[in-house]
Amino acid sequence: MMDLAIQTKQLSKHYPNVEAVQELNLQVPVGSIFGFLGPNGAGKTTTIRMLLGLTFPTRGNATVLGLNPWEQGSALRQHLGYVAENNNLYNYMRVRDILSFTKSLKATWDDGLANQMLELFDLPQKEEVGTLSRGMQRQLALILALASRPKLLLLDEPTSGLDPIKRREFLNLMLEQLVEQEQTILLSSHDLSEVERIADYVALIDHGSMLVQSPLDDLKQNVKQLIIGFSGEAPEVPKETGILQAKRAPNRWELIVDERVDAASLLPMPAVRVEERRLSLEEIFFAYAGGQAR
Amino acid sequence: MIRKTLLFKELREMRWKLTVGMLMLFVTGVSYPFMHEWLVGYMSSSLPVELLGRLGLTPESIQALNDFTFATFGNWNAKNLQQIGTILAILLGMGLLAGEYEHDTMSFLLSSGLGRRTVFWSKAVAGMTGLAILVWIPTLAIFPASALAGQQMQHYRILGATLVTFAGLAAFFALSILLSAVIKDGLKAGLAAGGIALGLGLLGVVPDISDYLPFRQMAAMPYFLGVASFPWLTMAIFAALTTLLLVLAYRTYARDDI
Repeated sequence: MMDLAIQTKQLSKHYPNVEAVQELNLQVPVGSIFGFLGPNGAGKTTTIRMLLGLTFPTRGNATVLGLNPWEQGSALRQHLGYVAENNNLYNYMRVRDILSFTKSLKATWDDGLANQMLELFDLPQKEEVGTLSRGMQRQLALILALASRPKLLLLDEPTSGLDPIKRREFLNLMLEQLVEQEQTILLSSHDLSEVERIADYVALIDHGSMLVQSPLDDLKQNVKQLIIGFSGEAPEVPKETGILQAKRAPNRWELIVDERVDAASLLPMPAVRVEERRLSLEEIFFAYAGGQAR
Repeated sequence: MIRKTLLFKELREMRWKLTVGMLMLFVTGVSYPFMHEWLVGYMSSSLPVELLGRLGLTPESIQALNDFTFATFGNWNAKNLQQIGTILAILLGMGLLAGEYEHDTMSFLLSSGLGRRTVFWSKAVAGMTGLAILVWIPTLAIFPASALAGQQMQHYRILGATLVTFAGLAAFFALSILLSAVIKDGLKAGLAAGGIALGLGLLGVVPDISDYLPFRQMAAMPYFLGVASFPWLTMAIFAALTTLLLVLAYRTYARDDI
């Protein structure tokens, strides 16, 4: 059985008038880079804050690194690194002050690693956090999260607000650091293409509900587009389990299907042609989410 | 349960409140011994009797002000320390939790590995330390200032009364933290606590209940005048109230979504 860094069972969070997270069963294997994906407002941040023990669930439970986040929060958070979606650092502190403040709170702080990353990012240590650019604030947040060598890193939209070049640089630098440390990483993002490059597992959520959770390679292998052409008018698309999205044109079907669908068994009449196309993660997400443009 | 790092961070964040508060209390407290004789002389010789009457003063009460210890008590414990101190106690309490919520720094603080119990009680102790600094340093500074001004005073009576005032101010500080835990907005919490303090102050004009209200109790007048022993019961009530308000604030914070 796979070792899990995070396991949630029926985890739910209800706010007045909104079900932010609904019966989420998340399984994050130890040592994985886990892409936690969904549009803005899908429930990613609420889930991450529950995993940190900052927000309490309405129903369900969770185990993070073998601990209960709400009852053993401070012990758990000693082993976690967290980068929030928005800047949550003390703006009035200088870079060196916030480093020293965080160091005093983390038992496993590694000065060598912190200095190495400071050099890498070339952050001005005498500057106040509030005067840094958004990109630099993100980099500083990452240093603070990584320098204690956490077993689990929770990154909530770490590149939000960065331009595409900065975003790519940031992810590359982050990956270089992470490969060496063999941590488990939960990376939340609404930018599916950025996660597609680095994740080995993904979960897609929307409106607080899990749409799919799978190793990324399996997902991309199993979910595909079938374009089926007919010589005459295309018949009705059968209602079959595993058809995620179906479009019927006058003489063809455009289907997005998962591994449960066998193309041959679908056809009520011989097809003129059957084409199979691999999908990007973004296309897969839209197929699961019902094709709603966000 | 208390983290030194966090304690220093809080004291650093409240440094401007402490500086301005200290300045105000120093000006009102330390300047008085140097102004005492002029003030009493002016009141007894230059103010018309009619005006004194309207201010609720009689020639006898003006006469009583010749007692420097009594006059200092009236200026300090019964007036400036209570009024300015209450405002400062509320200012110190209102931002301790709400400030972290408003800037979303609470998530950073907790994700750094601290427990909610440690965060709350470190903040409470830091605030109480700030309040103690504000109350006791200017109070103690009155003594050398009095000596410099050539005035004799009974220090222990002022110190005893200040202890009771401090206990009352601690309760207002705890009220302010509780409101900031509930409202999560420093300004609104401060205004709510200020409104409660003002309401209690205004109730003081009702003769039947005025003796039981916090501000009257905080002055400890009967003890100061020597007609009653030290008000241990008042101290115990203020201490219990402060503890209750802090525990309620902690419980609110401990169950809160961040």
